[in-house]
This record gives sequence, structure tokens and C-alpha cells, in this order.
Amino acid sequence: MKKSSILLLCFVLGFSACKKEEEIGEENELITTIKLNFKNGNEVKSFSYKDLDGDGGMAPVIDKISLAVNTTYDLSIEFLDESKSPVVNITEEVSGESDEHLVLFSPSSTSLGTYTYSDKDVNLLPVGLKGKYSTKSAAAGMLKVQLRHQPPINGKNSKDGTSIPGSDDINIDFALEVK
Amino acid sequence: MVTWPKFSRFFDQNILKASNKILFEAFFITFAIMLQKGISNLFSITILILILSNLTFGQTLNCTCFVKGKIIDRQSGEVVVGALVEISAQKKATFTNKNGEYLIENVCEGKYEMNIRILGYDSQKLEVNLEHENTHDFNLNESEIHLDGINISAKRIENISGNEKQLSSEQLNKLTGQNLATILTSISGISIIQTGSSIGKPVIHGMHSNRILTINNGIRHEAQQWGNEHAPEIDPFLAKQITIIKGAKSVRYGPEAIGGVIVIEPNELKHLDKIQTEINQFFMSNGLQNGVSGIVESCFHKIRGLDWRVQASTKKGGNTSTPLYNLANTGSQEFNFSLGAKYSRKKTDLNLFFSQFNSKIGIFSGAHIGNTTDLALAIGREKPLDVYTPETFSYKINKPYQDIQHSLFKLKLNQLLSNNQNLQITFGQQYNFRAEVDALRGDRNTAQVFKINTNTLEVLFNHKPIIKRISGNIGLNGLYQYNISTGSINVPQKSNVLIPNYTNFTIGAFWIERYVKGDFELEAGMRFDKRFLDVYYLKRLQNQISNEYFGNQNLTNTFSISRIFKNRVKLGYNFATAWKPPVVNEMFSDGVHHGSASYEVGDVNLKTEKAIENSIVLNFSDKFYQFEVLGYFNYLRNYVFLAPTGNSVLTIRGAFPEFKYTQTNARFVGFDISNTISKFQKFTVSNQLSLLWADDLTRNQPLIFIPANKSETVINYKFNKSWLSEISLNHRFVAKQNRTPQSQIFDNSNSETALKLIGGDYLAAPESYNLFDLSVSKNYKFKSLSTINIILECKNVLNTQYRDYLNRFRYFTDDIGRNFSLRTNINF
Repeated sequence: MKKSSILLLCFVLGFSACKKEEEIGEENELITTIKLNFKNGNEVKSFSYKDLDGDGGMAPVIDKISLAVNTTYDLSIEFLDESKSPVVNITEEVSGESDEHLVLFSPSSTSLGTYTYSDKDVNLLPVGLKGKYSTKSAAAGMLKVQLRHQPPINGKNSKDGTSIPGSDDINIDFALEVK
Repeated sequence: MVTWPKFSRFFDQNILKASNKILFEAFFITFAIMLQKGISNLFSITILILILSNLTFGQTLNCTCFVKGKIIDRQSGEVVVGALVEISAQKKATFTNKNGEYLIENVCEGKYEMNIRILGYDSQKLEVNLEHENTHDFNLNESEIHLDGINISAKRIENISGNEKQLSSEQLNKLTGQNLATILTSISGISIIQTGSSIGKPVIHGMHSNRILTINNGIRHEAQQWGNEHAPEIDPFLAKQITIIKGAKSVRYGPEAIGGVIVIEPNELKHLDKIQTEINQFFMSNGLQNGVSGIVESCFHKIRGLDWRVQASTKKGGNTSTPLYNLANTGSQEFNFSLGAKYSRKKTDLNLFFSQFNSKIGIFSGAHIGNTTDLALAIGREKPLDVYTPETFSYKINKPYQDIQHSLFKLKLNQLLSNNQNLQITFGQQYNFRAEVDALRGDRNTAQVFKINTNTLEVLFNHKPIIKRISGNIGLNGLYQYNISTGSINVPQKSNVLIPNYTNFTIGAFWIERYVKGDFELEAGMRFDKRFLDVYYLKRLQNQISNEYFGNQNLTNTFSISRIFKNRVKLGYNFATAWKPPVVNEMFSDGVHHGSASYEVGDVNLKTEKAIENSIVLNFSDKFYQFEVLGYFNYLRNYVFLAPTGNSVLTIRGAFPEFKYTQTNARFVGFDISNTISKFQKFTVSNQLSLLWADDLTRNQPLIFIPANKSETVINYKFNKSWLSEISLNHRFVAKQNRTPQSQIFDNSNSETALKLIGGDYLAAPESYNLFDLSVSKNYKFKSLSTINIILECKNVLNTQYRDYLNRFRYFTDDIGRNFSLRTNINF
């Protein structure tokens, strides 16, 4: 009797431990499009990166950024998944978890202009969804845009305001011309 | 000296459930000869040593005690003839006569352990205190199916080719708590591919993944073999005997058994009067890992012939540490259990088995690489960033992690037919679930989920011996497998999956014959297989389902010959062909392989890989010295491997170096050399050397990721009467892998990647290293046959900093440092 109850217990244990799929699901998020909106007064210039078929396959289409000299733009960034319909806006998710994300704008030379953050997360560290981009004299080069994902490690925040921790969710080089 | 009729009757009753009478007769004829002339046979080399020792180390002064008794079958009450009775400490042994009686004379006074063994019964041990004359009668328990079909085939393999090695349960007890692959590395010629310290994949003679088969409990283990970070989903606690076959074994086991086969078996279920329990426990200081496993077995008294076993194990570990720093998110958890039952009645045996393996393994956060730039930065660092090397310890597993489940159900029928012929039918069903969960925004996961279902069926027929010298079997194998990565099998829903949905149907038939005459043995076999593979996937941005069909077939054969000279030297030659049709991931991969920062591209036009393997084994064994060398020469046509193209693929996460599956002709040449010196079974020094040269013949350069040459030395001393039972020191030297490819595999490289590849690798091979382990153990034995075994071990005693060429995390971090462990094994 004792033995058969052990057996029974094990069977129950076994089959209850069987289903794992529900816990994880198979959601796969894709960022296909990045939009940079440069705003000066009423004029808005938008440039984008698009790779609708995801990694590999067809090469992505990257706009060339063209800005005016000696101008300060309000720069906002948008992340979209245009492979789904309706289009999924991932910017809100990044904004919701701003304490583990950091957007970086790195011009290939200082003559291409400078970026300053105008938003902060709950820990008063920069985020980069909104900022200002100031150009000086005419120049041409590249602008690297990165979205660093810096999630907590073993319960400890890894985001420290620098680019070092975490990994790239986005890393794109736009051609930039200031004229 | 021996009454043969009694013998054969005894056999018929108890052992020969699984035919092969000839094998046993050969065994017992030699046994008898051995008794008369002192000649040994392969099976009884150890017994020979005992007897020789008996002759040589015989008499000492004041040693006139004797011990006598009678041995009786507990179940039938009949006397047991021909049982070996030994007092190993005194080098004394004898066999029971036709009345089941034994007598050992001229034994010195003292306390000894007596050992009684015979095929078909459980061995028994007894502590005796000899003063002058002692009488000890024994009742032995029948162990009914001591040798079933699987066991026999395993034994034959050993006899013939000699390229087989075993780990006994005693050896396995010393290794509990480690992962399966690490356990196997104690055998020469076996290495390990690691992804951190918790994920390990065995490598046999430089080959791994889809080139190695694992036979778990008689069933071909089918899981996700493709990734280097996919470890075998098997509970090491359940394994009581592990056999490694080095080299191709395609004829018996089917396609993919190119590099070798790992056969994992629990103990046979046997008739027990009482409930027998075994508890294994371990604790390790590095990562504060701990685990416990329990096995309970007995029989149902109400239903005669029904035996059962229940087993469960759990394991938990936290962040591990290198000599200088801790590693974040390197914990792991496991929970496994199994149930087994056997019903034997007359000539029929029915086996039922179910097991489930569950594990969750954290992936070191510092190795979570977004793109090539991240990878280049991570490789450039002396040590990982502070945030990845926390001061505080944690058991918590965060993203990224792997979540794995593997279930196995087995039903096996063994039917003894007339003339000692035997039929064995084995059905197996496996379900493998694997999720690789990555960190993403919110509570979302980017998970790669794989679900593989496999059904296998084997029918094996052992025919009756022909002219008492030729035995053999004929078998049929069937396998039906399907994988669902997205949607349902033939209606996939997404295009961005690493492995597409597929169904795989494979059938095979084989025939193996074996001829034995005295010291000479010969085996030959052939097999035919056919595979039908249907792949269902969506092309990018298309809604139309693509379906591709692949049919592959092949004939393989094997031939082995061996001869023993003067009972000391054994020479064996083994020839085998093997094959592997291209696997789904090699054909259809198209995407970023997370963690390794590479973009992997498959090739649907890959051809079948075929291997021709030759090996020679020379074995010499003497009283004090044993030497074995296994030399192998393997040629692989259309060897499939992954190589960098020199191009990069631009994605939203930046540029990734592109890797493509390609083929070449390859040659693997190597030697496994082992030397053992032992004295009085107490003091043992052994060394195992593994050497390997693997080359890409088309490009005339070495192959990438081939294990470096290594040497392992063990010094072991067993104490007779002391507070310690055993002490051993282990030294491992792993050389630097100097043989790495220098030139690019593809020559159409046209762009600069952020990462400079050194001959297809991100970083040059690490330096050589030396590791020392020390362990002491104590055995307690009680009259009630209960035992307690305690082992205290320190691994990497000197806390050496090192990186191993086959550890994927060598780009980012050192290997783990000093590790104390305490293991307990209790039987009652």
C-alpha cells in the first residue's frame, strides 16, 4: 500500500511538471524601423532606417541625414515594428523602462555637432528619447545611433549613465551632412 | 572438477534469458581451463590476477586459519556450484564444489572482507574475524536477468574492437554533482565543449554534437543537438554505468554515430526481498551547489515477478567564481525523476520506464553579446565589467537563461524463444522542449522555443548459435520525429525562426554476426538506412508555405578482428563506415546566433557526410602493469562545418560577421594511450594521454575547435585499516592548441568587420594549463550490508587561473577556480 502510494505520488508529480510552454510563450519582437525627427521651429525633418524583412534577406534602407549649419534642433527618436499591422510602436516600451535603456548619438567627428540629453529616468540618469542636436559649420560624416539595453544584473541596476554596461539593441550608422 | 550438466541447467534457469549461450559456454570453458592451467580469458583477467597472486604471495608465518561454508540459492534452496569466494586482502580465492561447499585454507589471522560472486546472483560481502576455524554459509539472491540483450551487445563490443571504455557506479559516485560531459572527460580521448561551467557537451576524438549518439536506457536520445550550448538532457544521478564507444558504431546504432556512442544505463531491476534505498548527496563550495538523489527499489510481494524502482534528484547552484572574481547569473537548477518497473514471467520480460529531466541554467551576463562591437569590447577587457562580477552571492537566475525539459517513455519486451533464440522489441517516446530566453523590454521575452517529438521502435532478433561458434542478430529500427518552432507542423506562422518545422522519418535494418574460437574473435555487420525529411517554412515577407523534401539513403558496414596472445597481449583491428545526412540546422539556419555574435547561414545543397574509420588497439596486461594504446585514422568525405565568410551582415543591431555551413574532406588521426602501474591493488599510478591531429584536406590546414592534446595522471592509494579508505591526487595538463586554421575558408571577403578574425576565431587559442585535484574518501560497511561512502574533494587546489580552448566563454572570462566538494553515498 505504502509503495503504491509512493508510485502514485511520483506520477502526480511527474505529470504536473510536464507543461512548460505556457510559461514562456513564443513572442518575438522585432524593431524594423527607426525614425529620427529633427525639429526647428515649425520645420520637422525626419530620417529613417528601415529593414522590413528583419535580419538578413534584403539589405536595410538608410536615409541620409541633412541638417542646416549653426542650428539647434529638438531631436526625438521613434522605434517601430512595421512588419506587423497595425504598426507596433516600441518607443513607449522603451520609455516605460527608461531606467534600463540609454540612447546614444555619436557623430564621427566633433565638427558634425553635439548632442545634449533633455530627458531623465527615475534615477536621474539620461535616457535620450528626447534631446537637442546643435550643428556648427558645414561638414560631412557619420552619426552613430545606439540603443543600449542595460537591464539589472542579479537585482542590481547596471545602468550608470555611460555606454559601457549592457548590449546593443540598436546600432546604426547614418550618413550625416551639415550644410 | 566441474560438473557440466549442473552448470548448463543452472544457466538455462537463470541467465540465458537472452540467448547467446555460446558466449557463456566459451566463458565457462575458459573458466574451467583457467582453474586447471592458470590460463585466463578476457572476462576473467581480474580473477586471474587474484589467482596468480594467490600462487605467488601464498604462505606467511602463523597463517594456518581456514574458513569454510556452503552457498545456497535463497529462492530455490538449492546449492550454488561454481561461485567465486574470495578474501581479496589475503589474495585468496576458490570456487564452490558440486555440493556448493568451499574451503579456503592457510589464511592469516585477522579481520577480512569476504566476497562471493557468481553470474546470475547478487554478489555478497561479509566481514569475518578469523581466529582459527570459521564456518560461514551464504544465501545468495537470484538476480534473474543479470544479462539482457543490451548488456550482451555491449559486452561483445568490448571484446571485439577494444575501443570501448566504461565508468562503473563506483567511479560515478566519485563524480556526482558534475554535468554528464564533465564526468565523461575522465576517459582518455574524451573532451568537453563548454559554455560556462554548467553547460557541457562531450567530444569524442574531436567530434561532437550530431556526430555522437547517446543511448539513454536503450533508447537513442533525440534532442536539439545543433548548438554547442546544448548539453545532453540526462540526469547523471540515474546513470549507474556509462559506456563510451570511441569511433563509428553506425551499423548497430544508425546514422550519426560517426564520432562515437555514449551508452548510459541504470542498474538492472532485480528481485529484492526488502526495500533497498540509495541516497546520494553532494555539496560544492564554488557556487554553493548542492544536490540530492534518492533511489528506492523493491518488488511487489503480491504479484510475483514484478519489480519496481523510483528515483528523483534535485540540484541547485548559484553564481560561480573564478580565482579572482564572481560571475553574475551563472546559477543552475535541476529537478529530475524516473519510474521503472519490470515484470518477468517464464520466458518473457516486460520493462516500463519513464523519466523526466528539467533544468534552468543562467547564462553569464557578461557573455550576453548584442553585436560585434560589443563582442570586440568584451574580448578586449582583461576581466569582465564590475557589474558582471558582483561581490554578493545569489542563487537567482535572471535573463538570459535556458529552460529545458526532456521526457522519455520506454516500453521493452524481451521474449526468449525456443533454441535460446531471443526477440526484443523496444518502443521509445521522447519529448524535448527547449527555450532560450533573452532579456528584452518589459516582461517580454525574446525566446527561441524548440519542441521536438520523437518516436523510436527497435526490433532485435538474436538467432540461435550456429556450430556453437557463430552468434548474431538482425534488427530493424524506425524513427519518426517532428519539430515545431512556430504554428503547427505543416502550417508555420513566422519566418524568423532559427530552425524550421520539419518531420523526419528514418528506417534502417542491420545484421551483425560474430565468430569466436578461443582467443580469436571476428565480427562483421552491415546496415541500410533511409531518411525522409520534410521541411515546412515561410520565406521572408511571404505567406506562401514552402515545403522541401529530402531523401537520403546509405549502406554502412563494419568489420572487427581480435586475438589474444599468451593471455597478456591483445591486438584488435576495427574497420567501420558511417554516415550523417545533412541536419536541418546545417541546411536552413538563417539568422543571428545570440550570444555568439555571428550571423549563421545554412546551405540546402549540402551533401551526405561519409566516414571511413580504422582503429587498432594494443593491450598488454601484467600483474603490476597495464598498457593500452588505441590508434585511429578516420577519413570524412563532405565533413560539414561552420566557417566565417569574411563578410558582414548589416542588421539593426549593427554588423555581424557571417558564418556559413560548408563542406570539406577531413582527416582525424590520433592516439589514446594509457599506462597503469598497480601494486597489491593498493597503490595505483595511472596516466592517460590523448593526442589528436585533425586536418582540412581540401585547404591543407588544421580544423578549427579541435581539442588540444592532454594528459591526465592519477595517483591513488587504498588503505587497509585506517581512518581513511582512499586518497588520490589527480593532475591534468592541457596543452595549448597550436594547430588552428590560418587562412580564410571563403575567399570572397569584401568588407571589413568590426572584429578582426584570427583564422576564423575571435581570439587566439589560450595558453596551456595544469590543474591539480585532491580527494580522500572513507567507506563504512555494516553487517546489514549497508554502506556509507564519504568523499571530500578539492578541485583546482592551487586556484589556477586558466582558460580552455573549447570553452565558449574563454573570450570573456577565466574558468572557475578552487572548488571544495563533499559527497555522500548511502546504501541501505
